[in-house]
Amino acid sequence: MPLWLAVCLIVSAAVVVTGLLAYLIDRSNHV
Amino acid sequence: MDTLREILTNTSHLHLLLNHIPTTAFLVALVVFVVALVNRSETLTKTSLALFFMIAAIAIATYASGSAAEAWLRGTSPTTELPANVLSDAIHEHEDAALWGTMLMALTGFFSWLALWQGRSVRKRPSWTLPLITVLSLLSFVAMSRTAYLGGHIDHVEIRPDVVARHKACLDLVDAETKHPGSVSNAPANCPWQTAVDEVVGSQAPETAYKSQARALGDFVIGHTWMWPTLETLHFVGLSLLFTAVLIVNLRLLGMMKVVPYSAVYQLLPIGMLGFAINLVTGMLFFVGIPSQYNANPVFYWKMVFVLLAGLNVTYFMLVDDTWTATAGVAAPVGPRIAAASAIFIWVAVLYCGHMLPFIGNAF
Repeated sequence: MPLWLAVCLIVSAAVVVTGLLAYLIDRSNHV
Repeated sequence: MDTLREILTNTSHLHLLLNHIPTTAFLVALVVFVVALVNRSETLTKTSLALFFMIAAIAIATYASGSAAEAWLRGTSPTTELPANVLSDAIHEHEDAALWGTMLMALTGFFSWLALWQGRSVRKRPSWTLPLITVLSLLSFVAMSRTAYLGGHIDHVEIRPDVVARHKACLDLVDAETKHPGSVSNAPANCPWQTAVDEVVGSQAPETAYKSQARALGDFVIGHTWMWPTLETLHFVGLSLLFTAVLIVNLRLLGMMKVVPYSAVYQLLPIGMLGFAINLVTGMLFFVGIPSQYNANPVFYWKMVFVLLAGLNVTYFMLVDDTWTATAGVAAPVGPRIAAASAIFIWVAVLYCGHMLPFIGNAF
């Protein structure tokens, strides 16, 4: 796999996981 | 004054100073936490959570200073001969235990901070937070105690199990010859510790030598071309999340966007903390990849100092009530304003030190 694609995929995956965590933390705080 | 300067600039000294905190201070925090749970005291709960968070921050600096202490012993070459009574395996076992211990403690610190944040958020703290922190803090304490135990073996040959076994075998021989069992006062004279150490080292075939997990992880980081650019990109993503939250929250307290109440910007803080978590993981991976870039680097030393100050700063916002008077259209009192200005300065300093690692220091 080309380097640029590998970096893009892993970074995107990590950003999605972070987004999901941020969403869950925020949701735990909804009335 | 010279002694103080020596202690603060010699990273070996610094490690000896810091390494007691993740065990002894953490035990104190753990006791406070248990008492808080038993007595259902919110004040004690907040105190212990803040302690967990700060000790986790100190654990990160302790880990970094430990690597520097190793470099101080070995010099820059991994093949340099260590002092006669120091076993290379002892250092690696300690380092591996420290890596897992630090990660567990960082996780405890993250959830402790989250619990503090939830204490002031819109809804009551969810029921899963404190049980999770109980489990994580106990695991952290066990992992860090094991780290401390293994760390003791580095310079105290007299407590290494393999050396003790050799030493005891020698003493048994002496006892059998002299018919004077247990003559402890003669023990070092009859069976020098160094002999036992030499025997342990001599009996070690290279393939049975301890395989360092930290080094294996480091080799994985530097052995794959996609690793470093991925980590760098993620470190920048984390930095962006962190600094955005820092700027919005602290600029509001300094008087910008006064129409927005503090309680609204407060909701952004977990995003900043998630950014910090990304940067801690990626930063630790950089560190285990090429420790020599950081542990002899004065700018990295300053970066750690500012990260600790940032930890103290964010704890202030978790514990102090003054900030909450800044409702829509109302200016924040002077205390939070000073803390907010400090926060921006501290985080700019962390960013600056990070960026200057190769230019002022010796990284890359």
